[in-house]
Amino acid sequence: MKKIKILSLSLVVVLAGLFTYANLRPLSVAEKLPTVDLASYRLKGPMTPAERLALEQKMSALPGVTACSVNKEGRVASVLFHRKEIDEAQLARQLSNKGQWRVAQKALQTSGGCPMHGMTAPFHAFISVLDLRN
Amino acid sequence: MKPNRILFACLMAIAMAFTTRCTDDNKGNGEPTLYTRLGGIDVISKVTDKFLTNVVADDMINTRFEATVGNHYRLQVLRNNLIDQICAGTGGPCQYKGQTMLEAHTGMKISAAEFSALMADLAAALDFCEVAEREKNDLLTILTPMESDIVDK
Repeated sequence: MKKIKILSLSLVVVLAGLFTYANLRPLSVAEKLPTVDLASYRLKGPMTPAERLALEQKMSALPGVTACSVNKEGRVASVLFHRKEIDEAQLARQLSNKGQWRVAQKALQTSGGCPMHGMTAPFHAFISVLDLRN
Repeated sequence: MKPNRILFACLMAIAMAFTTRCTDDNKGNGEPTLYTRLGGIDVISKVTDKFLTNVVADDMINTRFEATVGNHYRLQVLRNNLIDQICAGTGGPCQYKGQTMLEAHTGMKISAAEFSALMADLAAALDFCEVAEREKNDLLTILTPMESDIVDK
């Protein structure tokens, strides 16, 4: 019984320490910016370079969108956005340009990529959840 | 006489402190830092966001980034590191907290062609954000030497 009490107390102390760290750690200039999400889409249908640029500019000007790129072939579009202001379905509707292009969200790989970010991601994610400033 | 000297010394110290603060943002020759000439953190974050979407739309290199940008938290780490790195490298008030380029890319076997594609995506982002030619070249000049720590590691 005494061991359980000590263990519980230790856990509370560790959690309190992590909570304090999460909320008092100095944030970098970049960390103070609102967080973003990324969605990628496959586009079907002919697209001229001028239409591609116009679509990028239209998408980039939408509220909640921070950047949008369409590849040179006009087959892939990627969008960075603030989820609180716009979602993937709304982005897909805007990308279709009233049905001019068929749009399907592209599933991104879930493993691989930059190994360093992969290793620190769980800790970063946990600290972000505890950080009430987010 | 002595209190006057002390007062004079204090005034000089205050004046020097103000002068230092005013010249924080230049190279010492009166010219603003590249960070200021680029437009500060707002422009750097816009360029970084456009660069990230360019990379993810780029079929040549997007598989290298998909798993990172597809995860909300990994995306923030990558984005924050890129912004801090550009900000710090151009003389801005940021501190890059990430790994060195050599540490971060060892084992990834990135080819010279992939690095060139990445730099082309960055140049396209700078053009899209209407960064002036001089500032664009200055920034690319700072970043290009990283190739030796990234390619074929």
